[in-house]
Amino acid sequence: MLFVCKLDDLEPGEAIKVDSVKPPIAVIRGESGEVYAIDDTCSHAEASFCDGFVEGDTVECPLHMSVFCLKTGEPENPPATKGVGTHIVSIRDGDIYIEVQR
Amino acid sequence: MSASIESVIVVGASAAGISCVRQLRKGGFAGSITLIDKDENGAYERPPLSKQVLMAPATTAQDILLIEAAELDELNVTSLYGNALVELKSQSREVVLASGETLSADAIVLATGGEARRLPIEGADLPEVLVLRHYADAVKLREIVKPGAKVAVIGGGFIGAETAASLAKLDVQVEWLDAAPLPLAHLLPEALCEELVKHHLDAGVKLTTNCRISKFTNEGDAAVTIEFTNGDTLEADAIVLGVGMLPQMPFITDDASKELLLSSAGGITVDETLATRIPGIYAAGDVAAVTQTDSTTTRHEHWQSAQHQGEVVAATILGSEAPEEPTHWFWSDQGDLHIEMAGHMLPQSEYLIKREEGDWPVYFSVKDNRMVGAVSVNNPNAVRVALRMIKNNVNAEPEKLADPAVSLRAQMRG
Repeated sequence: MLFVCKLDDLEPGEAIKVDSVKPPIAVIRGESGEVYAIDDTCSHAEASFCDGFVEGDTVECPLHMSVFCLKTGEPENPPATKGVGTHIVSIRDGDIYIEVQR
Repeated sequence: MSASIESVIVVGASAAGISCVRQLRKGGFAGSITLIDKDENGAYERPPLSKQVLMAPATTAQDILLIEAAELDELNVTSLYGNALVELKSQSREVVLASGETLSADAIVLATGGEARRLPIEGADLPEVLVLRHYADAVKLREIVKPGAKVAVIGGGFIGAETAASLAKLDVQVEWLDAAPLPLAHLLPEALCEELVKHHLDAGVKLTTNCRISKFTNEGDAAVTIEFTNGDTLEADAIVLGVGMLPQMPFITDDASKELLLSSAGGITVDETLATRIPGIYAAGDVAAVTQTDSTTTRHEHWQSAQHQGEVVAATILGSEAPEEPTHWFWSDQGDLHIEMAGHMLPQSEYLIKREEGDWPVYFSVKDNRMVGAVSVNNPNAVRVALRMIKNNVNAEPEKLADPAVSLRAQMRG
């Protein structure tokens, strides 16, 4: 379990990059308020999802506009065709933790 | 689905061609699909040719595939790569291939893309004069560009700017030549072009504008020499032309088919469903000259449009509803800069709004309180907001858009 930040410090639509694990993980709060953790680097090109555009519970890659589902890590449209890894998120006493699934 | 269509040939493993193949299967097409491309490397992405393929020498065609062999297998697509279309017999819906084979199908999709344009001057076909359209072109340039080499990049559009920026990062002496007074100004707001050009100059690129080139020669001491109409000369180890593209047209012998298929504007004449006037023959992507209902003809050369047209042509073949046309969007990666543009930037300055945010300004075109265009540098999310504002036709207030204290996200829903 890895502490990320306080839930209150991550507004819906915001992202925080966990750099202490390699490759890095993006912890993203969807517009629903749900917090997700996915591999930070797009499966198509060298881009960080933390710089992406969050809409609903999806993130749009900042380079070429593939939209990824935050829950499943799967792309909804090209150019990306492969999904990215997802990780387990838990909220305890207002703190966000992730469990890396690799 | 039209019950009569049992086989489809897609000519061109391009963004449009691959998008069509995927969409046919997604739409339930169970017949045979044959994918033909003259390039032995098959279906790969072209945007990286002016970037990572040049800068990361380990990049292979496999690294930039548009579709992998496993997915083609899964989709039950027969791919014939390294086999060119030599003749289209459109009335009988047959294609004659370089291998000598003749194939026929119920539907033929021409997604042949284009070839890089060469200047119509003496020496434009010299081996030292390169273009960037195929993987092999990029590899050829990569082999020449050792640090310290001198390369002339001709053309003030995106390919020219991207190539100049990539080469500068490789410590190549870059001579960027443009016939216009300011590179990129036919595409982006002038004030932004000036800043972009300054960035490229600071990175080591040397720019000459208003160039008039008379010929290229390789007879002197240098690998290649550019001669200008004013008598100046410039020596280089190689020249890269980034002066546009020409649609790659199939060879057609009969006059009736030529008349029906070939657009006077270049490309293959199609209607908005991407059907030609010959039953069973379709075109998509760079090669498709689309005649709109108002009888204007447009040909798009951007990735997103090719992708969309592949889906449209599949829907037409299947007789299903065409997907909604996305808001026009494209990007250009130039060295450390990621430029994005949405919609259409209007040329009139009264519609131009500048937002000072971060290292680079964002420009919007707003007319009658509606967003019509946006361009950003290293700030894609500004354009992503604008895309949604254009699509949803929401209220856009110029003062708020210009005010960095008012977040763009807060303005997204009008």
